[in-house]
Amino acid sequence: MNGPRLLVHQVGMEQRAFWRNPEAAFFTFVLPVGLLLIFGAINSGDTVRGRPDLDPLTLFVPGILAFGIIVAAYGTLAATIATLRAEGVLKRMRATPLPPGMYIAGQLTSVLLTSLLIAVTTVVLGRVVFGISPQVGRLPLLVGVLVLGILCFAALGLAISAAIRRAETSGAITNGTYLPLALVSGTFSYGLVLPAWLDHIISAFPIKALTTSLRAAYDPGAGIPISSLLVLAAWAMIGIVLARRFFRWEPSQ
Amino acid sequence: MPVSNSPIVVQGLRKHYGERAVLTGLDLEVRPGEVFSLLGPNGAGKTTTVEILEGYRNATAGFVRVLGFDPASHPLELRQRTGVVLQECGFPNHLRVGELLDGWRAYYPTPRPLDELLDVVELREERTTLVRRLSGGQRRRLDFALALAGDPDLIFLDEPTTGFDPEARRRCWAAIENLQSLGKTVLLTTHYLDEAERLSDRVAILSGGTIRAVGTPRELTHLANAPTRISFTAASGDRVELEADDSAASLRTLLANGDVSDLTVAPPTLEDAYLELVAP
Repeated sequence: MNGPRLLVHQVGMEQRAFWRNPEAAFFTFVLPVGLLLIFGAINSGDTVRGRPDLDPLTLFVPGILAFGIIVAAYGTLAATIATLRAEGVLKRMRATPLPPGMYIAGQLTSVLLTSLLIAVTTVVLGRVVFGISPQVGRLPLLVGVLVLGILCFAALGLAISAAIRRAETSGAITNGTYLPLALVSGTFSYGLVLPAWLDHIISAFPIKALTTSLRAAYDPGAGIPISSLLVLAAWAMIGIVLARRFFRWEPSQ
Repeated sequence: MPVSNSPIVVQGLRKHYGERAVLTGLDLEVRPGEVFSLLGPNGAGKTTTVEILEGYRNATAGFVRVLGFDPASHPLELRQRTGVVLQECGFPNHLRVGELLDGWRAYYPTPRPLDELLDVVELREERTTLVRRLSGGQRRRLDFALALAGDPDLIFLDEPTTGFDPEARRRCWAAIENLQSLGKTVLLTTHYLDEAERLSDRVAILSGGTIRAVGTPRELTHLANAPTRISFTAASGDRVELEADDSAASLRTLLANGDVSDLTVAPPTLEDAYLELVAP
């Protein structure tokens, strides 16, 4: 098979395996959609401190959008790769003539598809159920941020997978890294006020950067989030460098 | 460096893990079309040797060629022509047997037909079964089928029958004999000496990081000075067991002189030779 056909073949296998795994499908799909519907309904009619003009769901929907991408591209990818490594599937792949880069490309493309699907679902539900839409003029920004965010978190997911030695600990390690950070980044809330020093620190992490960037595509009062985009791009680079340095094919001894 | 059409040529192979020397100058040649068994106690360096040949480990020193390639550089051309059955390697569990095999076949330029693969490992009935629902023995057979997916010229089998019941072992042996009849070269590691004796054209005994002996199972058995064991029931009804260095002479004397029944004659086996050769 030539390169593009082999890639399509790999993505097909990964997608099939993904959707048949109830745990992965639940965390990546049902969880963000459920949070959107439940907390969207609860928060409906609330107000944002200092922004009387704004429906709080304008900030809440893109927060869930960020969360969905983080779960799919970071959490699920890291857990999948860590499990495949621990069980020796990656080692088995190395014995086939499939080029290693093609295998990784297949995994990343599959994650890109899954993440885009959850993103589109969130945007559509936000609009249909709550009447919250991204600003038309910021649609290119929205798509750009989605792609950059998925790339960034997928690279970080590949990198962190190297630190997961046993498959059973993958959930604890991935959830343990992104959930606390998502909470202090205000991903689920819209009125979170942190001390300035803490806010500066949190802003240097990619979860806050992704949340802020996606909110800029929804909030008419926000400017182009240059510094957040730079933070995301920097973490994408860091993720790629770490993944290339630490990625392993064989299980830990 | 020597020119050879042998699928595996190893000369002066050394492997150190830090200060610890696992292989201390190993020479090995596996000829085209033979089933070659690598035997040795745990820790002798069997897996290290095989993993160097498969490209999973780099040699510290020495010359290694597999189908003419240096496996350390992971050449695509080599992996297209080899099949590997690894110990304890998992599968993508959420695929069906047929999907997984088809997935693997796509990686190779001249794959074996899917039906043929399913037949060889007797998984035809499980074609649409999810891999995670297979039994242990079925998973091991799937291992074997994946190794054959690309119709390889050279197959590495690392303890392929460990954990099999006697019937499943016989079936696996038949599959290996089938590979042999197709002219494939097989490098087998095993702990079962009867398996090695039955299947191998030649056997090497690895101990202390080097090859102690190499030859046909028959040659190695003769190398050892193990006696033939004769046992019979004497006229008195007692069971008698003897060890004889010259079994023909002993039997002649025995049969000429007495009323014996239930006679068994057990020649020395590869196991006797093995135990003698790996003894420190």
